[in-house]
Amino acid sequence: MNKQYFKSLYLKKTWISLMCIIWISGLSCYRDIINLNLENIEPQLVIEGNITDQNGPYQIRISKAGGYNQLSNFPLVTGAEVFIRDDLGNFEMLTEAEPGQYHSQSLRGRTGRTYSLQVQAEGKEYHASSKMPEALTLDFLTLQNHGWEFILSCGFTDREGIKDFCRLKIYKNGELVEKYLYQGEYTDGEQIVLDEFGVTFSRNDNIVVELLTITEEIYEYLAMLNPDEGGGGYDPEIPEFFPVSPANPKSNLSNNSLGYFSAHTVRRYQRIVQ
Amino acid sequence: MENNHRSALVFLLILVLICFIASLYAQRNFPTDSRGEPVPDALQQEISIYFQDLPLIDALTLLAEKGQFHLNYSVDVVPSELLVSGQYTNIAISTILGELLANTGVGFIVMGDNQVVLVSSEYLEKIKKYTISGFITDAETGEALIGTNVSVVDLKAGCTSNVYGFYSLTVPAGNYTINYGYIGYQPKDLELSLHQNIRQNIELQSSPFLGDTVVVSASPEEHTLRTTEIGTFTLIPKEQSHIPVFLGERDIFRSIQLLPGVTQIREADCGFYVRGGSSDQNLVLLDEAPVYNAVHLLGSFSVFNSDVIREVKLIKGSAPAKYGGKLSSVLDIQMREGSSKQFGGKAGIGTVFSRLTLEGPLLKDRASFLVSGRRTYADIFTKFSSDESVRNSQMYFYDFNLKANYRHTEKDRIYLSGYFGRDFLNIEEETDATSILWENKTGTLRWNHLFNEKLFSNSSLIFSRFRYGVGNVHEYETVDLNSLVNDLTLKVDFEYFNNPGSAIYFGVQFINHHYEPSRWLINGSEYFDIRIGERKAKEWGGYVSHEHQINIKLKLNYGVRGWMFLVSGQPDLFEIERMDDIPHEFYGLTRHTEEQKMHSGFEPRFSANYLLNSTTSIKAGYARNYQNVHMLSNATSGTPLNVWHPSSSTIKPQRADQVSLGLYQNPAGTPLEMSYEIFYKDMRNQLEYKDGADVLLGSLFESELTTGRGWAYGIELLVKKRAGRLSGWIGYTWSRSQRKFAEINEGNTFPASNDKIHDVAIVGIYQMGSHLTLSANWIYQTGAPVTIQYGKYVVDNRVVDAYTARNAYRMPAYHRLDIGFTYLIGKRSELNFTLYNAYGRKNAYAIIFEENEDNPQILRPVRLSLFSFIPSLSYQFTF
Repeated sequence: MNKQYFKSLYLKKTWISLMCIIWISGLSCYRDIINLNLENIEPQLVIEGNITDQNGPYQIRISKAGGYNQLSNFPLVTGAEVFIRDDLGNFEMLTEAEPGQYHSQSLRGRTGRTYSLQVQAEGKEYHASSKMPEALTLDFLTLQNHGWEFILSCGFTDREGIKDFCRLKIYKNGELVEKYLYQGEYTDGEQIVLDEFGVTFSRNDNIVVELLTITEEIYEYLAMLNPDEGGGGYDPEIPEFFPVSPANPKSNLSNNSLGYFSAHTVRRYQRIVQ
Repeated sequence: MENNHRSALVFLLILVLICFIASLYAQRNFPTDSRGEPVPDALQQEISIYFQDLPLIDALTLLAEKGQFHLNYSVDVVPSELLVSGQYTNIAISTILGELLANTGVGFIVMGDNQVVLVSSEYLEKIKKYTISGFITDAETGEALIGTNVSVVDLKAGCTSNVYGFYSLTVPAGNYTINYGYIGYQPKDLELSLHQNIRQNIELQSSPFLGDTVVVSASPEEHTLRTTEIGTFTLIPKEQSHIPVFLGERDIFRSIQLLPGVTQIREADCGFYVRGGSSDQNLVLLDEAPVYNAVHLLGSFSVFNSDVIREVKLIKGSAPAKYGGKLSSVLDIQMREGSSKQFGGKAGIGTVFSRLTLEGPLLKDRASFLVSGRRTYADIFTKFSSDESVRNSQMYFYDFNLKANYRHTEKDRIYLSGYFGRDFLNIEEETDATSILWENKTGTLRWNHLFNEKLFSNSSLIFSRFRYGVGNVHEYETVDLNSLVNDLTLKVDFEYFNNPGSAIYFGVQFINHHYEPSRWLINGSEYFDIRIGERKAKEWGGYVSHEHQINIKLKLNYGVRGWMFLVSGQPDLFEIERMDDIPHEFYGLTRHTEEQKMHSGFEPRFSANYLLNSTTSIKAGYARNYQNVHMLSNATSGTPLNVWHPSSSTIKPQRADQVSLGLYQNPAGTPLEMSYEIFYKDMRNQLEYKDGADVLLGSLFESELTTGRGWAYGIELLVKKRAGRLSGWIGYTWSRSQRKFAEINEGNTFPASNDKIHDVAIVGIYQMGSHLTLSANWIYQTGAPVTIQYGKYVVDNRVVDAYTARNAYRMPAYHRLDIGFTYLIGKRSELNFTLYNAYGRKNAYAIIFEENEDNPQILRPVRLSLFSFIPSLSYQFTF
């Protein structure tokens, strides 16, 4: 039983049932396609930036939201000026390696430093900053044989007195198969074992586990962006009849832009199932 | 904590004491002069004096010397031959005066501090004041008539009857014509010679409500011009009976939505939003009992059965100090009492439900009763459906109203009223059954007591409970989610009718609240009993207000209300049996420690009316209101799954200050009533969900809420025609309602979801002959502001929805026309046909996006509208 179970089973049903009231009452519901007048809604800029404690280049991706009638096309933003600086005064202007992709060259991320991003694009300026946390590391990573399948189990120790936030990414044969978000508000200082993943492995699979230690802001952002990853977030399964407080995830970027800027650490673990 | 308890207790004691003293004051025999006015302190001094066969005038002169007051008289008033004797030791001067003058044909009146004037008893009789009081009732049913205008024609002074039909007027002795007027009743003139206190009960004859014979007395319009009530409407179901109705059923909420300053957000939304406030900010009272969830069936109908409603009063402006607890408005609904003269009833058969009302005397002219019930029948037809899931589904609602009253003596009456209503829905699928039920219960026991002609009191014991439950059976596992709020109120109200045009209202109340926002019972492979956010609260309140006619043009009503709210409990408490640990899925939720918190506040209220001339008046009002119970809803109103949550250490009481100004005009010689009102309302500590809040489990948690500011302002115009073949009104509102929250929309101002800039309602009722009535109403409202998806974008290697800023998009405008026909068959029955949304406007209920089947790269916006036009038929008869 998990949180998703609560949500989908009881409350989703509730909404469906309420809809049935309308239907049973014989008050049929009409659907027709309309044109929305979205002229005064300007598509927002999307900035996605990561800086880690691993070697660069670090990438900042700048694009724009696409309107509802042109989804194949998320315009990339070229010609922007992108700067990253840290709290020691190190400073670098990123170069546009390909359209909308801005790469660093010499910058090297370090834990404990605060990184600031400054983007000038289409006549507006955007800012964000993020302090790279100390890295969490896995205590163990095992694969248990359950008949014909293998189950992944891993664990780490939540640091006492520190609010830990991390994200686990699991790759199977190079493909991202599972993401998991963790926050340590109620498990301070405890041994954490994670083994309830929705993915199993078979012999000769190449498994890579990445442990990203992230900031609280980024945790909240990701939790809202990917509600099925654990943590909070609203449920996309609620029929859109009853949108409650739909909103873009709360970004650490300024000036009403979408996306995030994250300084985080990465620890990589690799196993071949045998 | 201790201190909080103690101060609450002290506060309560003080209030009780004030009330006690006030009631004593009203009853006690103060030393008075011969016309009954209290004498100043100087004349209450106790002195000792001795007379032996002195002429009266000499004795009085001696007393004046000794008691240090001035004596004024004209020689012909005092009989010169009269000799008096007496010995007084430590007796008040005024008492000695009274005894000396007893049976002499001379009286005394006191002017200023120490001027005593001797006057003849003939003169005294002329200036002495007497009280005429009594109950005003309907001649046919014996039911109280609320708000009847009682005016002394000769003095241009008057009062109105209270909710129990009681009135009291104190005027100088004399011969008067007293006029009693009530809308829809034939006015009555009473000639009387008032030389003693008179108890005069009045019965008014209702006027037939047919065609051009509609009789509307002049007094109701006069009333609007003269009272200090600002932003107030009084609705009487009888008057509303010809407005076209939704699904053939008359509903008081639908009538309210047609008034300026009141709006709805969506189609079929029976909740109402007053002057930019939210739907939980309306104080809805049924015979004084608060009703927490006032709607049935997704908000299609209100829980109030029009057949049992006597009168509805909606106060959008500054409410008198006796009301408190909600920010936006007061909707005070009084149930009928039932006829104390004869048995009768009313029945109706409609498209959605049927109803039956029975009433009659229990003891002739002493006691009566009223019972009424309604039930839907859709579930009877679903049994015959070919679809199995429909056949296995159940859906119904029913409600009952009950009222009984008993007149023990002329001075004591007892009223008992109650309401019970339930909605139930059950849907069965192969492995699953889901059911939802929600119910309201209220009960009121009231005791009216008349201390004397001037002091009226009412004590009430009030019970109110709202709960809902969602249950699910999935194979071997059952899950139930329950939520409830429970109130028990004890209160005493006094009304002291001092002079004509001067009345003092005061009272105290105590409320015991119990909130259980969420309780999960899970029974399957494991058993859980999880209670979240359970709290108890005690509330003490008291008020005093004074309504005062300063002069013939100016009338004031000022008062203050004070309250304390002590909330305690284990917020977000988890009680889990047979589990060693908190389940993993609750990790992400914020928990709080046990707490106790005291909130308190004072609410000044003020309103004034200045009569410019006989047809025009201006009014001004100010009111502060606090709200200590907040509705946390996971959607707009209409769904019953609303959690009621008290103020706590993290949720502060909501507060609103409103100023309003109005101009009222009844142009002479026309049946028109016009009003123009402007208002500005400032709201603090408003609650909203944070952006993207977890509204399912999270809706029960305070951590998902954020507080901010709101404000609303607007102009409301109303032109009403009450009499004639064509009656009705035109209402127009221009208003804005804005919110500003630090944590929403990057701290920028955004429009509230009830921000409808233009709101027009036109209602017309036309009498065609004596049997047929045609009616129509047209409504136009600016579309509601919503947050919608405007596109998509790529982040974190996935495509996600892009939303506009909070409420940055406006739905298309809402408008519709309803048409109704009412045909009277004989005198006792009528047939009603309604066409709702006559021109089939597809008003947007929501806008969603769906993928284009041919090209998944294109999303198409789809407008969902609940219905185009709906014809309906209903039939009702009285017996």
